[in-house]
Amino acid sequence: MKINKYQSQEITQDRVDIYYKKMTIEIEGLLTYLNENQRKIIGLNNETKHVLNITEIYYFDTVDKKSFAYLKEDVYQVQYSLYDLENLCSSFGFVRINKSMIVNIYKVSCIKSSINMKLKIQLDNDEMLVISRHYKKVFENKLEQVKNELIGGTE
Amino acid sequence: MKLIKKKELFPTICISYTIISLSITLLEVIKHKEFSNDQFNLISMFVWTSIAVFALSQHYRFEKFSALTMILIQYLIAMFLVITTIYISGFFVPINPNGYKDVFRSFTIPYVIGASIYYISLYRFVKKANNSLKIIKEHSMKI
Repeated sequence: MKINKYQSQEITQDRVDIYYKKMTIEIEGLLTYLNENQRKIIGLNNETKHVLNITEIYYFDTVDKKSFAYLKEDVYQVQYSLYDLENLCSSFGFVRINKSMIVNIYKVSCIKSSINMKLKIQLDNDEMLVISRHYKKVFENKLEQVKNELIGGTE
Repeated sequence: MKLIKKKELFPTICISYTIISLSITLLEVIKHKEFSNDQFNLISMFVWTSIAVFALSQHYRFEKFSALTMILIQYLIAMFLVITTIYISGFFVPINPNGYKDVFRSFTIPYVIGASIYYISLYRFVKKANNSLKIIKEHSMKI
């Protein structure tokens, strides 16, 4: 198997592309290694620690200086501040939408505007979150960034 | 003297013009101890502009409210302050019988136009964001 590595200042996120003719044990092993080493965080639920895959988290919310990770159905407390979570999860498509929330763009189903001009995000699990006016531009930029990365990555 | 950069040119002209116009007007008022109609209008415009800018600058205080509520609150505050200034100025200069109506109109129309522009920009944002989300969903499924 030929291995190439490229350093570029133009890319915004590190990435690994694997080209193969046929799935082999060697490539499967490589994929397993890469998947297992994805960033994971520890979440607390009923005093039990759980390893959470960041990509499965829908959004983070902060209440009384405590941060919570919301998955499809479960909620876990995490030991990070919102600022740390923003830095940690930014490369996984997370973006700040208001003072206390960071959302996973990949879990957003659609955006809606209400009659009183409030912007709302509908998630894949039908939960609704509010985008504050202050973070509207940040959200828009992130959406464009993720879109361009995906288009560039799959072409 | 600090070099005026390209993007500072227009604000610098506005600030300089305002300072010069107001200073000359106020000096003339002090010198002659009376207001002409033009001088009164110029000072009134400055006061109303300041009120409008102040009201708009307070938008961050209404972040928890919806955009529509924020626009309405700012409009009511600005309108109240403008009507108050006209009422107070009525003690010094005579007010045109249509004065209140004219001011109401000249303040309300820009606000309605501003709110409409915001609403259109919001609609366009939602449309663009949903298109981007659709593309993201399609491409992330491929991966």
